[in-house]
Amino acid sequence: MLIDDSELMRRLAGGDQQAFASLLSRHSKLVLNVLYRIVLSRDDAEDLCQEVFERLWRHAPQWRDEAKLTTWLYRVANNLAINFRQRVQQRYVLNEDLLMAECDAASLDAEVSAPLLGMGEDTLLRALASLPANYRAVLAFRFYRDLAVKDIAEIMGISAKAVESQLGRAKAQLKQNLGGGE
Amino acid sequence: MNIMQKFLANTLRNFGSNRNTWPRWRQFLLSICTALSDACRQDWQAAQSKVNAADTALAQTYIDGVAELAVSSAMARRLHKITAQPQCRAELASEPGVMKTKMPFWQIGFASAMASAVLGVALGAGGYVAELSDFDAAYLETSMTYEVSDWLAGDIQ
Repeated sequence: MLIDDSELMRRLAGGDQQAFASLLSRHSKLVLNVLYRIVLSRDDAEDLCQEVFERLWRHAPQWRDEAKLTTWLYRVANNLAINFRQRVQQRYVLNEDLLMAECDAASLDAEVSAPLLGMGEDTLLRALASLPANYRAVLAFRFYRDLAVKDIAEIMGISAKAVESQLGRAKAQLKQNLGGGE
Repeated sequence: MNIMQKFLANTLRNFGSNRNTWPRWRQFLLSICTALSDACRQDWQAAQSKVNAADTALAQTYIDGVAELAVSSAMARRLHKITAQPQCRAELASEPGVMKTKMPFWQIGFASAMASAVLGVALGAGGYVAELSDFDAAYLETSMTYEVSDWLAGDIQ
């Protein structure tokens, strides 16, 4: 029988390690991939993913069953990723070359699974790397997780109107970066 | 091409196909144009279809183009080690700190007002029980006048 997230969280609040393992197997891959699509580096995504689940474990006793667990996980992941990118950009004073070097060489060299429009993954990652982090986040939630605008708004802590606006700009900028123009 | 179609073509060219990013007055005019002109409505629908097709292609490019990461065994080990850390203690409702933070602001305001009132009454009532050690020295000068010229005249004299 599949135990729902709320029940697992109740058990986690009591320090149940088995419940934590179940939540990890259920959500860690999705959180990791959302983070990867925002920070564009496997190593950084793994570090941030660990931080997300550390917070989940630590704060489980204070959990209130007011929101979906996935919404909470994505919200923490988004905040950590945006803050992380801002720290990196401040450290390198917006040096584009160094920022590009932040993208995993391993990721850029990875095998591409049937890309459309004849472009490689490196092309897409470079196009994404030139977008602001919040645009990458909104694209990740919309395209990768297929979330509704109101859910994205709840995760990102902004209005649905702002999400639509950011999504429109992100898509236009991504198309432009990929050479498609508007 | 009528004037409404020209307006729509001009807006699409300058502001893109997402009407939410248009200035409000253009959004308002769009709804009027599409309501009044069939040609304008068809142009708008064609633009939306084009955008939807482009968005679908972009979404597919994104989905196919960014590799799906798997949680590596090293990563899984790191995640499972998290349970070695202590958890934050659950806050109990009986703890004073928690009660304080949970008290609504209007209750705090009411409590402050009541405390002020009680303090005022206590201070005022204090006069009834206070002992005046030199009662004779405390008197009211009923013949006193507030006429300044009288004071000055008295000083001169």
